[in-house]
Amino acid sequence: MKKRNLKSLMAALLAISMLAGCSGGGAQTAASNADTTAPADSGSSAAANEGESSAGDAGAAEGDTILIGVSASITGSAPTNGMRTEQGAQMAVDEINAAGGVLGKQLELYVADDGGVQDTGINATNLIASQGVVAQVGPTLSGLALAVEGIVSEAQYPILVGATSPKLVTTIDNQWLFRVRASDTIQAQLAAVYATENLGCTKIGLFTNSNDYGSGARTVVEEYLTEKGIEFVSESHNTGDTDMTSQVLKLKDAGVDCVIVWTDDAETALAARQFYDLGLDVPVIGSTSISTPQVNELCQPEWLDNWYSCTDFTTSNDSELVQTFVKAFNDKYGEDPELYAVTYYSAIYLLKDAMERAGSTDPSAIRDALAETDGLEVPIGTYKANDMREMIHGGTICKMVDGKAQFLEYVLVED
Amino acid sequence: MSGIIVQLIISGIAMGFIYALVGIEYTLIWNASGVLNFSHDKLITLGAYIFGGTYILGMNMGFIPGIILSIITVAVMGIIIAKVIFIPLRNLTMIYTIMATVMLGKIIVEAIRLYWGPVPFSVPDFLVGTVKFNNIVISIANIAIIITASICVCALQLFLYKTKPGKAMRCVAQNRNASQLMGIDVKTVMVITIIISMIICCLIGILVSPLLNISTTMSNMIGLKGFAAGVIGGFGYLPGAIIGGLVIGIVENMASMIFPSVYKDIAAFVLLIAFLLVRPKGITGKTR
Repeated sequence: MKKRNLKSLMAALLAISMLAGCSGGGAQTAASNADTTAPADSGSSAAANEGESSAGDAGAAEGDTILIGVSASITGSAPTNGMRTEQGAQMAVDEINAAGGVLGKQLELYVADDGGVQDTGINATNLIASQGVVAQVGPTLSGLALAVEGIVSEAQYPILVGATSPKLVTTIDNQWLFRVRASDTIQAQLAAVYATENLGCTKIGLFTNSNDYGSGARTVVEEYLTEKGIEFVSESHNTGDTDMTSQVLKLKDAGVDCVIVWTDDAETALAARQFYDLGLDVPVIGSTSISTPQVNELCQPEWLDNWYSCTDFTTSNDSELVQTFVKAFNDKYGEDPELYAVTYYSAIYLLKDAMERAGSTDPSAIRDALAETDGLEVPIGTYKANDMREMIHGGTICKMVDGKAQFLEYVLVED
Repeated sequence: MSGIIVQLIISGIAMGFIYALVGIEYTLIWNASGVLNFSHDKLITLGAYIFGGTYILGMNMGFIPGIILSIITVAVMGIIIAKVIFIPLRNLTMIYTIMATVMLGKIIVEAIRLYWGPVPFSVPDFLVGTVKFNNIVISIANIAIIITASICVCALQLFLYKTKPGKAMRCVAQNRNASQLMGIDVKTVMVITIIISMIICCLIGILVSPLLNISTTMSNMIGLKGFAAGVIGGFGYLPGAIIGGLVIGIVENMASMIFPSVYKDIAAFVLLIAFLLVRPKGITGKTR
């Protein structure tokens, strides 16, 4: 009797641990159910912030305000990103409204929580679409952007995403989808070029996440290195991995003279620590993660002594536009802005610019104006739309000094 | 090459001890109350946040007072959780209690996010640095894990076999109804057990904080592997959890020598499924 109980218990446990396993792997399927109530809350609170709650009014575009949707990962595995997304977009809206709005109307945000997972993300975008918005910014995760692009093209309004996967232009061709950050291929190319040409490395180690982001970059770098005939060793890890000893030791054993690390925030910080602890003492070129304040704060400065970062944005860029933005963000939120904040801050200004050029808030007029964007200067760079509606075509190389990213140069890439 | 193997075994042992502690921590509650605590990994996260977020970074305390106060705080929380959740749920069908603890976990995570904010952080200078022997590097954090975990395991064994409350806990684990008939206050025993379990969770959280950084998702994987450790060692049997933990820690690290490192986690779960199919009683063959 007891034994049979134990067996059925084990079976039940196994089933549950599988369920929990899915949620551990970054895609929090189980969490999403609990999170679905959140979008309405955050949306209404954002509307309340604005003083008027005309959210829900389908004719918002014709009223006194112009409603813009924001899909942000406020809950889920990367809640910081959602918070910064909202802050960045909100700051741009506040500034624009204080300066008189757009076409004589005030801007208003409708923020929905995409939870960082696809099913909640689809709900969030459906919710945004049902509010009668003129455009949407976010989501940032590539998987989510791919999941919601169909909804947006059906609802017929432009969407500006910070997603960077090459798949957004290689697998789909959505007239309503605009990309406001550089594609991964551009960033990864930068890393490979910088390692081989500027640092003169001859045997490159690749340490990449096994997800879309890491493996996409890995393909780009491997192609580049193969073409140039440069030796390389590839090691990968999964999202949520904590012990990278074996990968680090394998790279060390192979005698690499440079490592390109392409992974997400938490894993980047862990890699920095474990590279240092295990004495892998070579220059490291990291993805954008390593130059963000939230990752810097996870690392002791000495771990990052020989690190470089390929990124979209750094607060240490001394251009006036960036410095004004950094100061304003600091005054408002008491913290330095990072990638998500600057991406969506800039995206809102891009929308403003497009609406003014179109002279209308009609979504298809905005879309046409967006597609003609040429040379709009924003803190994240210069927006210029190409045939595939990509706005950014370059990247910044930073060197880590005392645990902080120092701007080295902005490099434009042919695409 | 042999250097790598030694190095991998050492880091495997350190992670193994963490898995073992996780295995022990939920085994204790299972034995005392028949409730499978699926919020246990979130309690680990909570421990790390209380230590790092409140006492060290929030109040700028030293590490030792911070650890002691964290332990006291979670002990108090343990009493509340025991009285509010585990004791009322002990006689319900398993599936309800499992769902209740899963939901408790969700509540804890979202409460953490609201209270401490969503930004992950680390505790500066806590257990950083390495010790070098020839070409082998061992991090101080790993040494601390191995020492603390060993002390915990020994202390727990002494408590269970040499003290009266410990013996009562073992009685309740063996047969709850009979021990009630023998005059053991089962509810008090459950409270004590849950307090001990919470303290172990808190210690795990503190010990892994230098390895993982403190974030809401920090303990998902160790929670699962700790569960696997319990099953592989023999479910509900404390020394089994230790053996299971060490086996998983070492096997997954050695597997990364043979297979691509991405499949490291799979090694642990393949082992789990293999044991469930072939030897559900685990290596030790004991269940309680």
